[in-house]
Amino acid sequence: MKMTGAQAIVKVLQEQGVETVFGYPGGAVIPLYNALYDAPLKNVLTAHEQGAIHAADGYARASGKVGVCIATSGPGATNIVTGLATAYLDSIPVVAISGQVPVANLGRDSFQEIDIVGVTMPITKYNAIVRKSEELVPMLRLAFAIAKNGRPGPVLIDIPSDLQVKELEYPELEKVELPEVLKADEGIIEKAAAALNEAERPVLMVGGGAVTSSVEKELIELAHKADLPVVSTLMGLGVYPGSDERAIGLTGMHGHMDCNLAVANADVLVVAGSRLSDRVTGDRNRYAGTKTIIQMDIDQSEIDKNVGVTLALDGDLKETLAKFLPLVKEGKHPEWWAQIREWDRMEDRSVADGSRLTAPWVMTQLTKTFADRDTIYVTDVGQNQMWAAQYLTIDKPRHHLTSGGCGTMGFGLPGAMGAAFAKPDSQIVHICGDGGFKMTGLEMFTASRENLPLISIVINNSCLGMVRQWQQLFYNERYSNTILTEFDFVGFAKSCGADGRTVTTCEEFTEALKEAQNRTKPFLIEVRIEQSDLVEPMVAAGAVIYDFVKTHI
Amino acid sequence: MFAKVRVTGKNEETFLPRVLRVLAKQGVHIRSLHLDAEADVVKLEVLLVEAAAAQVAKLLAKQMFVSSVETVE
Repeated sequence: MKMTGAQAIVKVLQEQGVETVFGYPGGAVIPLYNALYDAPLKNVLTAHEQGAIHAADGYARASGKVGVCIATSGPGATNIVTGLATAYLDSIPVVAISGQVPVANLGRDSFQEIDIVGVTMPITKYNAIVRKSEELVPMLRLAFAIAKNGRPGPVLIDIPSDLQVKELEYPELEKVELPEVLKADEGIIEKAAAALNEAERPVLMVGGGAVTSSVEKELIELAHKADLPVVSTLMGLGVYPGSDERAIGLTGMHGHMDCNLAVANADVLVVAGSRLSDRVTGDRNRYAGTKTIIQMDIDQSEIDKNVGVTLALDGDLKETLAKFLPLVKEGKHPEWWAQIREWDRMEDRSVADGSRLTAPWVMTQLTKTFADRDTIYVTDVGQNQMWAAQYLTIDKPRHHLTSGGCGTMGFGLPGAMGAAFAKPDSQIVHICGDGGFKMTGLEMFTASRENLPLISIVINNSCLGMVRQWQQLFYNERYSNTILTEFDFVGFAKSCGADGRTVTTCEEFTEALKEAQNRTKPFLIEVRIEQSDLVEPMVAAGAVIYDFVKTHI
Repeated sequence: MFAKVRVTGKNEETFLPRVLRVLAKQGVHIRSLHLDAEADVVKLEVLLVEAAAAQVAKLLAKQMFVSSVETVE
């Protein structure tokens, strides 16, 4: 069947089951937008290309499907770079389609010509420029296959505008050949199970890879069978239900005391889908100690990358756990649990007791308010992100979305928008700080235009809180460019067609949260908190994970 | 001490930049690099510092269109 390149792109999107695309038109994608004009796809116009790529990312995180983003050449393409990096570092399947100057103008520094394949090579799982019409459809099909196969990731396909206009013969669907995923060695699986069966102080750590592999049931079975305390990395929150008695919470730089101490004192640590990054391990050279680390990961290059492990199980987590579970014996560790409970009591959580308006208290109220409703929390980056990770209770995978690896401020609002398109029946709660909101806040206009009933919680401490926290603790209170001046968040939301309230007390927050529900437009709650509130516990960068910063001397 | 990493892959325009990017990101000290390209196949032999060879081999193996990677001590 003959059609233009642009029509073929739309046909591939439909063939791949894409229902929603996020993007921003420009000179090099006018033919594609012409084809999208009456295509049976939801085509969301964002305020900025960065909003489009984060929305596609949020859509993918919430749905598990591939998110799709479209940008024009030159600045349109460079505007999606941060979003590609965000998706890359969290292994999120996104296909980005960028327009490019006509083939004949390539390499001549033409108007809006940027070598976006060169720019994005380190931050995509794969990228390529289409140089011939006949390559277009196979390359797009390959892009979708690569994005979701094995360890997922973003793929960028750069398409010159003349190839979008030129006619081509649409090829039949063919199977895309991709490298096979490794399978964990059965002998090592046996050794790992034996080590766990003999453990006296075992810990299970869940990471983002467990979300991708959808192993929530297997993890519950494992933890209950072997009586394992379960800690989560930032990316793993929700894959093991936070309200389960064996879930002890977040580990890492802002991990709970019991979690970090449990990891540090464990004799066997089972790591399910985490690369053990610096924010998780602190000083990686003192992380392993004498413990046996069993690392399960689909990506062989993650094994031993940051921390030397004892037993490496490289393969798909679901398959690995299916073989591992039958070998694991029923276990009980009452003394170990008593120790962990004692460590838990060391942590001062009075900041969340409701005696004044604080971010931790807000998180506990969100958890209570939405306990009976399918709610997806999308957080930004900084103190707000850490308070959310510490004090929200997340019971399902894909219900806590955040930029973990890249730490991209500004991800939250467009990411929440993407989640709202992916899960229209879920309540989407966006949590951010006053700094991060301003980075991509114009997407409030997009969310309002699209009638997305987001609840946007802006934790306003009139500063770039996390940087200010480091300046307070490690830079002699020299608050260089971190104290922010007044901004009318509610007025801004209203100017975007949304609504909102500013709250300064717990009572006002409770009222505003009631008002925010069951709407057809976004509702912003500006939560004014003390500038001096810190995220605690905290371990300094590079310190061993049980060396908590003393902030009250 | 140095080790040799042999990479075979499809003769695709971004094959070499992808390999070089992996080496650059790892900050690997390279002693020599030899490339042979035939119609559809590229063969690359990199002599690099031994301590980095295992991780470089794993990272190269997961690049698209790399068909095999072997490390020779």
